[in-house]
Amino acid sequence: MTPHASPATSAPAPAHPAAPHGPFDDLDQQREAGLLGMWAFLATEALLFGGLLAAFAVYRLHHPDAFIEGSRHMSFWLGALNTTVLLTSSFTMALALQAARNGRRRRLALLLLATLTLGAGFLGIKSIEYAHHIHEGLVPGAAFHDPDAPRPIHVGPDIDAAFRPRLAPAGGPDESLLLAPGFAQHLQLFVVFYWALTGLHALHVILGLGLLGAIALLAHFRRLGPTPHTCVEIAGLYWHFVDVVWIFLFPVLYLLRH
Amino acid sequence: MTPHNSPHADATRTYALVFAALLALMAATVAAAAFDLGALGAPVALGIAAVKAALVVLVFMHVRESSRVVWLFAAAGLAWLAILMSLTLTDYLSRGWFPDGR
Repeated sequence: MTPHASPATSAPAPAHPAAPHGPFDDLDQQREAGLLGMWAFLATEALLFGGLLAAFAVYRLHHPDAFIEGSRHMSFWLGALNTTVLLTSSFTMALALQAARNGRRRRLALLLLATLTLGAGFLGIKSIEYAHHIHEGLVPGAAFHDPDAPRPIHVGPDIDAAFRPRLAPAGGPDESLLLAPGFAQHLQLFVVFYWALTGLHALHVILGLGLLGAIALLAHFRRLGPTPHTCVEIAGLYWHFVDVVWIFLFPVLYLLRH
Repeated sequence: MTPHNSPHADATRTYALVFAALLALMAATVAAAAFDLGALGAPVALGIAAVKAALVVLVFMHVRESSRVVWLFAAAGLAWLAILMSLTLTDYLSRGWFPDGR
């Protein structure tokens, strides 16, 4: 981000209006430093999601049947819609940066608003999916219930039942598969990965929306310094990265269903 | 303004073309998912995703027109991620290759 000048350390105000703040020789170097800082952060984020994905890959190799079953419980169309929403938001973000470079403030504001709206739309669709999963019982923890298995009939309060792992009773669509030892636990493992990956991603989307909102406000009140497009560019890198993560999450969680 | 900006009308056209390509790749993803491709299913889905990601990184994130230092940082992130995935998988994919426990 463009750093604010600190009166104690900045050089005497130069005649040229666009001077770098801090230890930089010129604005280009300042911009480059900002970009590299964001890229270094994005590399750490790639490894954060990469670690989860590597673990997912290992468990999928070991329990393909249960993980394929998990993918089949995901809504393909909602996932595809969400992917399209994020791809469009990346497009509007790229156009927003161009508007910032051209000095077109109103166009910048509109495109940032469009990006924010699409990001919020992503979260809305995700909430619909989450609500459906919760209703079906596809949640991590003691409340997990295999949706293809009939619900057990409770005859009375059974405190221990909440802590006992539930094995799918007979009668589901593919009985032999449901009775395979550990299948329900492995399906639950898929569900844990699903919530961890999409939850972590959704958290990043929320933070990204906050970031974009802050930049939009600062740009509106002309508080972004002499090169406002640098701020927009750096925030754009973060937003595109969030899109790239989802581009990979979608096939991994939704499409590996055969 | 930084001096090395390309003509701005061209940039809009480039972004629109890339967005159209991304939508086409989404259509390909949906089409591919309709068929049971067996062992090819995962490589096809992930391959299409990789192309989408490459387009976003190179064009929308401007890596393609950035300095070599930016290329280095972006490539380094990708390289370490590739090491994480590939070395982990070489372990687990080769389990059971040698029955005497080697």
